[in-house]
Amino acid sequence: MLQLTRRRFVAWAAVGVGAVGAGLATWRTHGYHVEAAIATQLRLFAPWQYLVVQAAGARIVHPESVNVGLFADAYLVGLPAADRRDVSALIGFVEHGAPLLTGRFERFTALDSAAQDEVLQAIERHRVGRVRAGFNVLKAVAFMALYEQDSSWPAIGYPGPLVPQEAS
Amino acid sequence: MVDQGRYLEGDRRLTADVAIVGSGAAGAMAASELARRGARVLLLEEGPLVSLRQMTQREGEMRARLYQERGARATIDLAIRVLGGRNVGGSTVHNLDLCKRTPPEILERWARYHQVAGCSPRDLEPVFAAVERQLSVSEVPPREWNRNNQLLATAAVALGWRGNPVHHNRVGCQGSGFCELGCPFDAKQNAAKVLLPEAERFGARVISDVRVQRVVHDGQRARGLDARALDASGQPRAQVRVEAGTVVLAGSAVGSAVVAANSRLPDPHGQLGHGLRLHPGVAVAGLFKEAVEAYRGIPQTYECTEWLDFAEDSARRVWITTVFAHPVGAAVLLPGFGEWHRRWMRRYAHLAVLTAMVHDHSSGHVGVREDGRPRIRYQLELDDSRQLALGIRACARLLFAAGALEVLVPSTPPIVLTRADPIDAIPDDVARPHHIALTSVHPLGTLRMGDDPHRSVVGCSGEHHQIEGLFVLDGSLFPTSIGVPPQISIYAFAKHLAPHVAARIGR
Repeated sequence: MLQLTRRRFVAWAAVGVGAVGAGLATWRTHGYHVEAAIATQLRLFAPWQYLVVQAAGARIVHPESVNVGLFADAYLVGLPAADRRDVSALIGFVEHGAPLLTGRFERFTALDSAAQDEVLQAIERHRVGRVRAGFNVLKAVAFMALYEQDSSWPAIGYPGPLVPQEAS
Repeated sequence: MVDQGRYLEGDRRLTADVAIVGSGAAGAMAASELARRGARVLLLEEGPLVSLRQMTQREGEMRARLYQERGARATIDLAIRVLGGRNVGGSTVHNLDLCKRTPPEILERWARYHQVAGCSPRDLEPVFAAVERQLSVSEVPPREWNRNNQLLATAAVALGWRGNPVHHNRVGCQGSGFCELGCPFDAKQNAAKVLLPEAERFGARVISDVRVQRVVHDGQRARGLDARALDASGQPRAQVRVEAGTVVLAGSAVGSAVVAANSRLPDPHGQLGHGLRLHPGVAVAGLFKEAVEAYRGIPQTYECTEWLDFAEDSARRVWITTVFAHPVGAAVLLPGFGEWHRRWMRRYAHLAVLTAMVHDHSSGHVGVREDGRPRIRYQLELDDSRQLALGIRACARLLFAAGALEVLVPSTPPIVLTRADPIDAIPDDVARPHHIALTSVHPLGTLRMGDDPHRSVVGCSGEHHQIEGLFVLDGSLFPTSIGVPPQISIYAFAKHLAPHVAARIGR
């Protein structure tokens, strides 16, 4: 009979934690599919991160439509490394942690639109300030993606710049 | 002619009588005053030179060209956005041209409680007058007010509240309404247009795209600056070493504090970086039946000062004026998302917007993050938060008095009032951080002035208490909040103290 010594217990526990960690990492980042045409354009996001930002962004700008994921990838790649790490953590939280705020165990990207809205609202109104701030980052990027486009302006009655665009 | 650091090839060693950090209101004024006195002046600006042709009036492009961190700089807890300029001319290129003198009560209090000598209202009166002449400051006539400002003026009169037109430094304004994105019509009489060319006429050299890392000193005297030229994307390139026996920090209360912190200056009393004031502000929107089109015309031409006085222990510390944002800015400030948010954005042209800015008592700190960016810590005190709530209620009253159908307080969750709703129901804690968008455009007071080295970083000449030849001439100097837009105060203090710098180099 194998004796469960203190040393063995620690070793098995370490192996177990490692295996669970590897499994979680695999679970976190697998099962996502991004079209090749989009995947080749990504400079910052992993495909799964792109899908999360695209899904959250779509709900934020709804019922307008714009590719928030690609815009965010291009915009955020210019951020300092520390901010990029924060954004990465935020995306992970939205996908894997935030659904729990509404009692759901699925990934954010696996939820239907109504459930995604509930999750986003839970982040927006979370009692922890930094969580709310994280929502504001997502929101800012989503609305930049939408309202930096001339095509979005007529709907809100905004005539746009007075100087011609070729000046840029 | 501004030299662009992005085109500098190889490491450089430069010499000057005076090296100035920052080209905004303080740096440009100091350069002009010192060059005029015959000093060999070298001014380094971290940001780029932005030509009129590059002023495209597009939010994304202009935020990247004109603002620190593309307009996304914030306190470390992300509760307050802190906007500042990063271009030749600094914040004077994208501010709204408001020209208000430092309130005399504030100057008197600085003398009484902060040992600030030589800066009384009487001392500064001729300086303010000279600055106003230099920058062509004048009152904006009512015919140039846009609808947003007309509504505020109408409401203030209807309520019997104190209010008045404001003064601006603009000439030949086209009323395009894009001031915060830079003026392609060159109407702003700002640091870049008025003062830097003047400094250059007297021989000053201005180099853009150079980030100053630290003041070189030997523990007793300033010796110069260590800096890096930046490429077009802001990445460091060549080393720039400046040998100058006199150095002026004029990079704003945030930027100057960062350079000071990186320079390992003696700080025996732990004052460096402390005393940050932000003038945090909130916006309140009113929905009108008529099209207000607040995105057009001069953004801020009228102020309501009913809730602002500068008496000690005043319970009225809120300054109210108009404000407006272009679509991205408006969308980010509006609460919520999805359908609800879109409904309000569809009313964009029918919104009038007021802002309430608090003359803050809260005090923060600017330090340096691991990656070299500023670490801005600032906790809004309860009393200031209540002042903002007071301001929000006042804005709501003004908007309804002007005829608004609904008033939107952009808190989370949002508060939407109709005319039948009691305004007093807006709670005292409505403006607590992370529950409403708070914005600061006036960081002040991180390298405070005063005769007492235990409570200040620099003396009343602007010279550092311990390092001879190191001067601070920007808004970092201010021992407290000033409660009004600070550009004229900053120009004036730089002009007032520049002779002390000149005296240090025998000019």
